[in-house]
Amino acid sequence: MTTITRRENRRVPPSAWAILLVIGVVLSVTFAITFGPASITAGDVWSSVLSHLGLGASPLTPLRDGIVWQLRLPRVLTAAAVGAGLAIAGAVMQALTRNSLADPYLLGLSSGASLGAVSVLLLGVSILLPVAAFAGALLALLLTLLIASSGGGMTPSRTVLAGVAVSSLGAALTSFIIFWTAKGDSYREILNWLLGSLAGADWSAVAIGAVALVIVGVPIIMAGRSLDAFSFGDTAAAALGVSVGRTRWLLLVSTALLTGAMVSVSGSIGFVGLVLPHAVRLVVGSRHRVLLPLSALVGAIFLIWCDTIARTMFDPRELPVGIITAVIGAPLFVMLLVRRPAGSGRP
Amino acid sequence: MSGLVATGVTVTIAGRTIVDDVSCTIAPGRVTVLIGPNGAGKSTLIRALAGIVPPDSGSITWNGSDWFAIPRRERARTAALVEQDARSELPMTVLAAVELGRLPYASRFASPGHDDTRVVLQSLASVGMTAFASRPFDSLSGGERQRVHLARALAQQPSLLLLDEPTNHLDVHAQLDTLALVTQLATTGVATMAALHDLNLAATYADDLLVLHHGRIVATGSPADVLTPGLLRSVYGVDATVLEHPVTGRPLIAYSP
Repeated sequence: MTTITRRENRRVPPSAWAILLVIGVVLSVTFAITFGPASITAGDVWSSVLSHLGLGASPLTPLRDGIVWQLRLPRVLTAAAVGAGLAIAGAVMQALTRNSLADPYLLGLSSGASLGAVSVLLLGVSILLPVAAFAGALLALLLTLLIASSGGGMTPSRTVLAGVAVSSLGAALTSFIIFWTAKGDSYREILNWLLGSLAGADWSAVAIGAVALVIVGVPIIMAGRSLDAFSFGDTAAAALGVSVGRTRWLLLVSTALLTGAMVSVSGSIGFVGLVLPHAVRLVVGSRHRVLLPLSALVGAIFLIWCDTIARTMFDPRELPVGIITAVIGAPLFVMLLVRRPAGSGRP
Repeated sequence: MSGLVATGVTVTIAGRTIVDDVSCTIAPGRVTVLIGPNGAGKSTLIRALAGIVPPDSGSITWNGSDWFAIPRRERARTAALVEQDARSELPMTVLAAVELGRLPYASRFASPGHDDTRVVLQSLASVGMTAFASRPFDSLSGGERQRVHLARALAQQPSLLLLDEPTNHLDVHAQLDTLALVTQLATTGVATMAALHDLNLAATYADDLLVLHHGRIVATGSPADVLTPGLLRSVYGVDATVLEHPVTGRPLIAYSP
């Protein structure tokens, strides 16, 4: 008993991680803004923010203030919200499908959400952008689960393969719609939706991301202990007093909602939901009440810097941010795939 | 009536009757062993008795009150279920796996308290797995994993323990080890039912035997009463001689090819 207590004490407690990571997010937001063609200092960032919050006058020229307040700040905050949302979505899907390879991008949700969003934008289907993206994500998720579970057990590999199929279809339809209707640079537009881009992020994008995080993300985090119950499967969860069917659907629909909102402002950015929950799990363990909020914070920091690399590395040309996340995430996906024992992942 | 009492329980899945008019009692302090060929409906019956699958007809009562009228979480504080070799796809430590047993006691907002930690550590100690607490669950042997599942069940502080083929895929030592632990738990007053495949293990550890065949109970009683050549012939379709175990005095089944 003493050895356990000592071991647990030696670890950094989750609350300390949370505080460190919140500081990390604030510092990341501040310093990511300073990167770019116009030179901005961390001090400039804060004087601009404070002046817009009504605390003192900004010493910056209107042009420089605009770069901070109208261009870079909304973009960085959107990156933070999208990173946090996708990380939560990934962790939830991994727990519910008991599949370490689950992620909103790999299971087709992001692609479905892109299709929904693009249909609204270009075909003039008149529903709100995030709502359409949510509908697309939900449809894609249902399709993936239906394909994965028909004709045998829903094994992790079958689920991922079903996700690949749904994802490809969604991407093809998205590309077709853009190609057929776009007036300007349709190839760039297609790339932005399929690989993700935060180039267009403005304050309304920040609002969509933040509202989704508060309305959907926070309740998901509160349900963390129910997610723990799924560790050993549905029967085990039911035996621990969880209402399995209701909990599963509520959480899956919430995940689709969160993914839809994030994709509607950023396009489908891959691997964020796959990489970060695994990394965080290694450090703080598998309890979702700890795992979900910390994954969200790490996700925010991760995407802020991926996006900063994407927009500055080949300045003045900008990469879709999904290229950066894939370069980091795809090798990890391969690692997870190789490391899984052949017999694991019974339904 | 104390313990879990099932009366005329029938479970139908996709139009097929899997469990057919089963009546049985799981009494406190006794080990009831459920045997029967593959597909006899053992797992489905166990799930119904655990309060996970409601029966289509018939009734189940716990200490006299309707089992399915008891709120879900309270049921989970009463009954614990151990399945055969349940694995997790995601990495988790032994300690976290056992802590799951405290979920039925958890409030939505509060973190686990000192009581929870005490119960978890006690449960780990009583299955002899304290030293493994911070090990990854997936690094354990089959027998060790089953001990951890038992510890998780213990952490639920159950009055009713149900085990669905807990010894499948275990080597002989781990099989005996697991069942010895289970019978030891039963002596503390826990009403216990285990579905087992191995008839000699069933004969060794059962206080009461239940034989399930095509979803129906075809024999009940002590191992010596139930395990007869005639029953083995009609239920399993095998020829066997029933001897007496030289050490335990229990029935010992020798199969003829």
